[in-house]
Amino acid sequence: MSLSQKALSGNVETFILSVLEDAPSYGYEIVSALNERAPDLVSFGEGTVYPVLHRMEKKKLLEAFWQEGASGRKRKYYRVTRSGKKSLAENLKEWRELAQAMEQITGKRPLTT
Amino acid sequence: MSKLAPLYLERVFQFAELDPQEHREKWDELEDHLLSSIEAEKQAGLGDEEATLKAIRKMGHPQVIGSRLSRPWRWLDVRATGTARGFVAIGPKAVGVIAFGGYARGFIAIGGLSIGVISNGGLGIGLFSWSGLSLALISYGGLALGGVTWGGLSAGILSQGGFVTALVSRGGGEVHSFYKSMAAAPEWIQSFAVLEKVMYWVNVYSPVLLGLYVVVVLACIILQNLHNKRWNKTSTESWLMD
Repeated sequence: MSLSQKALSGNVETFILSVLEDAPSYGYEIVSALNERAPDLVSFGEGTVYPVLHRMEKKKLLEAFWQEGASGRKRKYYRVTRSGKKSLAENLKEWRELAQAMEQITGKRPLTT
Repeated sequence: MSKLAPLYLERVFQFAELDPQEHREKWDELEDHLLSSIEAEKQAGLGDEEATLKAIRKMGHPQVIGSRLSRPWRWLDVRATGTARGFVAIGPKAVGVIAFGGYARGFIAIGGLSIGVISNGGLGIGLFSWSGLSLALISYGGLALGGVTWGGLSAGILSQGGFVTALVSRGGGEVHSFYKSMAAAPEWIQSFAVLEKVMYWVNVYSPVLLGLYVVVVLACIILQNLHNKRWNKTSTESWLMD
């Protein structure tokens, strides 16, 4: 199963913030982590992650720095800023509240339906 | 390294309008991703070319990536798919000061369905519309509906045309008018008489408007064709993307 564009909309930033929460990372590794954590769930062209990363950088949710990678190539790393951490916490809180509301209204737990 | 990788990146950046500094940074970043992906595929046992093709496929279509890497607002944005956004926007869907496309929204919108201050097309919605079917404060078209209207079938507050249904009619073939004359109409309707002057000038200058329209439409078609050549070049090279 893969998530629709509508379901993904607005959540990709949360996914990325979540991946970067523990340690800085770079584009390829971020996409790999997303695929590893939820195989086939998030299916989008890998290249489309970059406009999102750049947008998040502009919004100061992420900050970027260049560093030489293990391969010897210049590599752009991203790390979460303070406002990124705040945004992640808010998004997760909203998501929990939404999931709770859904559960209360439908009487069904998401993983049991 | 396969020659396909830089070729693919070139394609991507054909669609990205960036200043040189940005171009270089984003190129380096995407190149690093592509090479990392190729390395991973090779480690999984694929040959050089196969690994490159698989990595490219996973990366996405050059136009999709390139367009998204561009600045969100451009002076000129021409697209073959998706929504074009710019001062002049041309695409199946277009949003801009001048928007041209199937579904165009803008200050001046020209298209099958156009919504704008000035709209022109199959169905035009706006303040001033000049379309097959016009819905606007000032409407001019085959079927014109709105405040002040002028058309083959014309319905509005103050209307003129072939078949007219209006609160006040200014004449036409078959006329259904609620008030016999402007003097008999309430004051709020009389205020629409101001717009009548606009309509008068539209009518007088309709050849000029038509000329401008033809110029704009031709320019848009030429730009779109130039773009489509580029688009076709990328999308028909099946060895690269299919």
